[in-house]
Amino acid sequence: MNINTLLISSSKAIGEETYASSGYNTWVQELITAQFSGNQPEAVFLILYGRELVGDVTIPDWKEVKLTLDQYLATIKTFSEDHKDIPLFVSSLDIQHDRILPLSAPRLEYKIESYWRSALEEIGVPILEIAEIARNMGRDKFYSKRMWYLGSIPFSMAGEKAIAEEISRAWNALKGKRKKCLVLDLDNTLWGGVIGEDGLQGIELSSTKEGARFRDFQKRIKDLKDQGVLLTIVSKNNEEDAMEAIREHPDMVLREDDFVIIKANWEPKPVNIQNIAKELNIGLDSLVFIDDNPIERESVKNALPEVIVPDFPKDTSTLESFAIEISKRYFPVLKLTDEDLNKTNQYKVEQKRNEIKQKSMSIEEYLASLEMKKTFRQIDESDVTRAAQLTQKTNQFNLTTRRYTESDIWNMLKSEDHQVWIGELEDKFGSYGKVILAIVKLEEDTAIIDTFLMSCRVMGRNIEKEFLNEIEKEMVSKRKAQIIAEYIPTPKNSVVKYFWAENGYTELENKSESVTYKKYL
Amino acid sequence: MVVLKDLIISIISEILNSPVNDFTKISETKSWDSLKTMQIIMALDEEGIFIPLEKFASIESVQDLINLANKN
Repeated sequence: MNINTLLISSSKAIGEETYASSGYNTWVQELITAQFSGNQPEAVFLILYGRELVGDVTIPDWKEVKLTLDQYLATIKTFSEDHKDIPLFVSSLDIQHDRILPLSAPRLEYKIESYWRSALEEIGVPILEIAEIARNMGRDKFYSKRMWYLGSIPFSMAGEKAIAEEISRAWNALKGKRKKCLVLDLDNTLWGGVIGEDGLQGIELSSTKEGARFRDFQKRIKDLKDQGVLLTIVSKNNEEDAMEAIREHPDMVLREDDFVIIKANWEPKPVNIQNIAKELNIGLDSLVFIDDNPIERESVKNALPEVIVPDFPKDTSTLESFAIEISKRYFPVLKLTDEDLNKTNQYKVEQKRNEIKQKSMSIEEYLASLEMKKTFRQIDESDVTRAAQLTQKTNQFNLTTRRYTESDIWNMLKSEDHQVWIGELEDKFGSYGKVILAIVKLEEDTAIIDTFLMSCRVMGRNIEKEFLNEIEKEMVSKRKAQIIAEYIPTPKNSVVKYFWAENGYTELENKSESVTYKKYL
Repeated sequence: MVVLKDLIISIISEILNSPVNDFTKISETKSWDSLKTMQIIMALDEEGIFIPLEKFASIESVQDLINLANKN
């Protein structure tokens, strides 16, 4: 098929340069040789048109079709195993039923589609949900017979736009471009009506009929929370009214424990939201604000332009789909790490630590009372996902802010001239997970620290110095004479401006984009 | 059909990323190739304006597109 028009809309959606295989069905060749006309792709998206892939079988024979599918799957499997550094995404198959058959004839399409899917899942290749999109949109809208006959383009403009969005979602997930926190209103957002006026019995929230739309909305939001998104509330209500509903209403899906911060007061919402960002120590651009009231949304948009403020659906029967749209657009994720699964808990435990901190006499006393246990080591296969995630998400304690994907980290793991260090921290309250990372490039007699970063949730624990020491000790044992380090300033990392200087490194070169340091070992 | 003509012209202008008018010819417009014509037809389809497929090869100008759209 001709995908040149799809290429254009995908390019627009992702904002990156895209390239399409020339000719028809050259993709097989390209995957076998891993040659993409001289391009080194960061990712490969394989969009397959079911009808063309499997052919117009006059007499459907499962054995024959399976043979064809297996050949394609073998190519995909080999590519994905030999090229862990080039992420491959493959579309699900949507096989349209065009042949005229009697009602009782067996249908091969579904068998083909599910066989394809299971095989991809087994190979471990992430799936682009093209078939699902076609069905949700309606095949009549998704495909265009006119464009097919005119130029071998299977899709309509709306269809291509939807595919481009799916590709964009996969790309964002790959790059770790995920927001961190949902800020939710209560009245007419998590339930129908106003708790302060309608009371516990009067708000619309139930497991059946009209109130169920809010319950279904809450269920999807809970899904997000279970996947590492932090939930907070900002509502103009008396705190007692809000808490009563959250705690007592029988049909609430989300309970007090699901939220890391609840602000029910009469302050202007932008003030509350700003405080939330401060308390969670995350950027305003990591927040997504959901509120049914257009006036509240405008006020937040004006006061805090970095906060994402999507429109709220006018038809609340679409609330569940709205939640799914929000998740796709702002919280796409490829794989979940343990840290993701534990996010909300992590923040709550942190709040507990802060309470102790307030009561402690001194910082030293406080740190000692935590009984911290640190594990510093070089990464192995199980750390690759988290390591990539750390480079993508850490902004403040990050000396060079270089972003890496999992395939980049894989390459470093395999390479002789790279060492990737990771550190885990736990204390008597619980584990922080893997929170500190360094990437070191090894040359003849010099080590270069390409990346040195630490999750903001363990700032102030002083583990960065110890971590650095471990790495320096290793460099000495590897007979390196010196270490070179860099500080690349960004709007967010001024906190580490003097880090190298404070750790015994001398300034070598001071340019506006970066400062280079050196330490003799 | 004034409204229809304006819609067609605005769609073509957007796809070519430069303004066109009644008299613009494909042969005289640098950025207009067959891929662009494909995109234009796709965009017109989206608006419910159907250019008969069999006339695709005969399209040489904005005016042709407007005429073919009107015939529908």
